[in-house]
Amino acid sequence: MAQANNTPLIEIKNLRKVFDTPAGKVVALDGINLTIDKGEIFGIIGMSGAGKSTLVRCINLLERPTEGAIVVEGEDITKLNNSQLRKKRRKIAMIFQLFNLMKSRTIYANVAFPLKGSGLSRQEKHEKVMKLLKLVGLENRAKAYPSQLSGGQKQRVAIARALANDPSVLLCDEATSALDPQTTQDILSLLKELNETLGLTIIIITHEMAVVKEVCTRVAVTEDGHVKETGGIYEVFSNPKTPITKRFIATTSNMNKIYDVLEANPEVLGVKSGDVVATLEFTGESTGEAMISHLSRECNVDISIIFGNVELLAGNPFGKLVVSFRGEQQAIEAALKALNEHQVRTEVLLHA
Amino acid sequence: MLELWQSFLELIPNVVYTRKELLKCIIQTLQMVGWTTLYSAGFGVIFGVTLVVTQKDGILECKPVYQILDKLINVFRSIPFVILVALLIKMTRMISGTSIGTKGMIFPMIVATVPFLSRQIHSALVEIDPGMIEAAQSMGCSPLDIIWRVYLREGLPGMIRGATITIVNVVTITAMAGYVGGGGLGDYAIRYGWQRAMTDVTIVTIIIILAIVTIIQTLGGFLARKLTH
Repeated sequence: MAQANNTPLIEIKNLRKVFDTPAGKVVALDGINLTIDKGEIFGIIGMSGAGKSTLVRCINLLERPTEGAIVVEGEDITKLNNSQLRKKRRKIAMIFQLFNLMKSRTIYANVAFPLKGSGLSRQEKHEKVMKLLKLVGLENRAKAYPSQLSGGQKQRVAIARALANDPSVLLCDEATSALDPQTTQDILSLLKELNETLGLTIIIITHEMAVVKEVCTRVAVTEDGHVKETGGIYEVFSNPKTPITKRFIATTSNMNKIYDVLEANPEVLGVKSGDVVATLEFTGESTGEAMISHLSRECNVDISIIFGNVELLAGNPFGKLVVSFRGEQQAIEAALKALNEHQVRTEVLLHA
Repeated sequence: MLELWQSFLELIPNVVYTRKELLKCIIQTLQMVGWTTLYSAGFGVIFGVTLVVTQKDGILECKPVYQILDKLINVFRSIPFVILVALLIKMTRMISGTSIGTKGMIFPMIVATVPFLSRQIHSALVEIDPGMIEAAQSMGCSPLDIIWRVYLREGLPGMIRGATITIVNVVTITAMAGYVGGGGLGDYAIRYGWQRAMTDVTIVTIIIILAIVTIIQTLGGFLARKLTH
């Protein structure tokens, strides 16, 4: 991951967007304040209709904010005139859910498209296009047309095209939503690689928490036109503060299914009367310790693991266990207390 | 082979008798179709593009321009051609120098064709994936850039299809030109085929017009397919 160096690249200040529709005014975004630093991969997540697409389209003014400022590299772009804005847009690249390639042009011509008026010579343009195609691994498809490529390849072409004018930021509007899981992985790896090798700042709009988890350094969770929660990826995942964030996190694990089974039919999971079922969340340093066997000995309880999951968030391990405690009531309470003392968050789900 | 041709000519004695007139009329028809297509294409593209960029959510949205042009096109499209010729007679004389004959026909034919073609071009351009326009905007393209490099380029196959239908229409109108002294195959068919009851003339005229239409459609279809990727 390229080191985010805390220099703000984009500042969104008091952004408000109201659409005039026949049915009346619709507030799509309200009171949005976000700062995106140079070199980070910033995720903006929300359900459909949360306003996340409008938000990203405000960053390059494809959508004009009703109120507020969009400061890109120190310049409020809402105050630019048309030709200044067009110049600025060359540095704010964008890729789309449905790729939006020019269908009647070859892959080569698509990548060369934004280079018109760049001041490069014919030869320089050619070298640039070939370099970009190589970067995305499609140098041998230069003569093909978009209709001859797969979805993942099309998105690679779109990425090459987006990078043609050496942008300082890449906006990804649901860029992986039309792709299968494997291709999504490939595109995300490519984005990560671009972030590391070129120091490219990337803003990813998505409705999939898995995408955010995979590549982002920070995330903003949006709902009903507001940013509900912003923070580092580890912080948000390990300690979600709002219901919407919790819901998004639940989509990335199998925890929900366990809860359902526990509620309906705990015997299936081997839970007997008198057992206490709890979730344990291990964050940071507590992840590495041999807590379970230690507790079992110290507090004289039997602990059996029903379900476990460890994931890497921005390179840090984060573990979650669903366990059942069997033993004396006091012993179980002591065990839970001991866990809390070791920075393990516990939540009792069931007294069987 | 020669014998077969001889016996075929015997079937159409009146056509053989008027063959010089027929040749002249074919050339007149082709002239009318050619010039009308050329001028209409120019204006049709200009108006079609104007419609698509000024319409709601267009890149140069401008309601008054769109509304006026849209209504004007509707009005001119609904005037029957024969009446249009009479209506425009003074203007035709000013522009073409004469209001009769093939030369006098071309201006009213352009006026009759432009609205139709503008609509065809407009609907071809509306079909373009708005995502491509958006991508071009996000890359910093100016409206003029978008018109040249996206609309006219990406819309080309659709525009050719629309133009093909229009040209076939133009051929039909040229036949009507005969009624108002415009010459051409229509004139030929009326004067000989109908007024002198030479049925073979009528049939041969139909076959020739059919051949022209087929060639135009085949060519248009081929070009449009060739340009669609």
